[in-house]
Amino acid sequence: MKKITVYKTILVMLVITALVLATFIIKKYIEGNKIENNIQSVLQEIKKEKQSNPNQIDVIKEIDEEIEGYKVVGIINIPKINIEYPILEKTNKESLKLSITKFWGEKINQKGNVVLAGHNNLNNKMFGKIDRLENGDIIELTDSQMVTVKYQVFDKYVIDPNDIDCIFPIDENTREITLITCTNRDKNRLVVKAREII
Amino acid sequence: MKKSKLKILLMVVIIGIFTIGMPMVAYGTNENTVIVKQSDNEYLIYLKGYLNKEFQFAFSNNKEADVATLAFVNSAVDSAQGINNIAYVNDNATIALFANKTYMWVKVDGELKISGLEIDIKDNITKTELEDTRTISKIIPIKLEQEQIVNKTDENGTKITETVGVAKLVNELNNGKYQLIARKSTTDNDNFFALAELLEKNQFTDKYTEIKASKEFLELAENLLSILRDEEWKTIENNTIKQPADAQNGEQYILWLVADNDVDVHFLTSLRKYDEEVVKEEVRTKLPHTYDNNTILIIFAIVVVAIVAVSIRIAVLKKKEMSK
Repeated sequence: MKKITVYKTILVMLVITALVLATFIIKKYIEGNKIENNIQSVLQEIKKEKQSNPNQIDVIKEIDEEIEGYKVVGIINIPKINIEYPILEKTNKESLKLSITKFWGEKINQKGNVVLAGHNNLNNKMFGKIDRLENGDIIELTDSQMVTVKYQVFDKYVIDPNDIDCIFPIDENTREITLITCTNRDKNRLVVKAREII
Repeated sequence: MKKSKLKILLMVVIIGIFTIGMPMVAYGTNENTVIVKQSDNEYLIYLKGYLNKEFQFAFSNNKEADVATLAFVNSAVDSAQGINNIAYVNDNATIALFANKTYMWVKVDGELKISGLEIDIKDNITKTELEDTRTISKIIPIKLEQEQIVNKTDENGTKITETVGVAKLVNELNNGKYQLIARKSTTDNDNFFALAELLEKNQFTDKYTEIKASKEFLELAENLLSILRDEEWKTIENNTIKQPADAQNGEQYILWLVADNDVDVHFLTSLRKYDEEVVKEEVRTKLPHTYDNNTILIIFAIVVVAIVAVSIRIAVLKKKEMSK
């Protein structure tokens, strides 16, 4: 009888733990959906701005959007894996939760290398699917002036997080982008490199 | 009698509502159009949104002209520059119309799309001007270099080097002078810089946007050059132009250059770096953490398995108790 009581106590504790964990998992899922919805509405807003001509000089259009205080400096679109995200100006723990971020480099679509970081999300959101990219695949970057430049993937490899060679441009006179996400849990970084199609 | 009066009144009110409520389309002069002057009697009119479809167009000096009486002409293709549908004007009769106020009508598949759009043929960009936008920043070429301006050792013995950007003329200039204007000093300078960046990228969505950007760029260049003060021109010494002493890293400047017969403009970003800081930054740099932590899911799965195991154990124990 005593043994059953001990097991019953353990069972109750396990059930409580399971409920607490389930609450965290559901909360994370809801927050993830909220972020995705927010991102979609920001993208819609930018597209609407692109179609209208509020400026006197109608060829100059600037993205003027923020996500939770982080300025949107461009948009990344990868048709092969069907993702489209605003690019935030800074990379830190908080901004990485919100969208793709600019980690290194000059302005989007300027000559040189622009490094973009994104979470390797388990639900395949953000950069969760960039491991499926292959040489020749297309990546489109729209900059703050709403100009879209197409890039083509030419390399993909795994590195140590302390290896920062990938942030330097191969050719300073070419537009180049580097996508970074975690792989092998947090031990390594997956790097996808692409250059402008000329 | 009363009823018929009421009916007439009602009809007048309804007609009035419809007349007032009818949408009145009022276009600004050359709205959504850009005109390229090929020669004195040859013009290409690009209409925004109509580059990819054939259309018919007509002109008249009478804004209220009866559409049925207008002589519509088929659009042409600017084959030399691409595959854009344009209103091509090269006949003397049409060009003569432009001496007075002229209005344009556009039909697509017989349906009237634009009605009475005022066209000012003088508001154009010439073929040569369009080509000139490609030579901007190439007339007086410069090369960008870096120069160390401070080289000192602080109290801790750390060597600090400050490096700034300088522009050097590629070729010697006769009577060369320059002015440096901050991009953010006025809206016009900001727009001018933004247009230069767009033209440099040359990634326009269509020919209309490209011509429009070139035209706005040249107009702004002319305006901005005309308002530069004579006394502000500085002589270029040793073929070198230094960035302003207070320019911070990343600030953008418009560099105007004049020589005996040439004028040119460059769009520059200032550079200022402290080598000691740069070295520290590089050592600290590590690629960001972008891992989606799934520990909570694993723990949850373990807890669920444990619940099942404990439940089975309790059931077994209960069964044993019952059988006793």
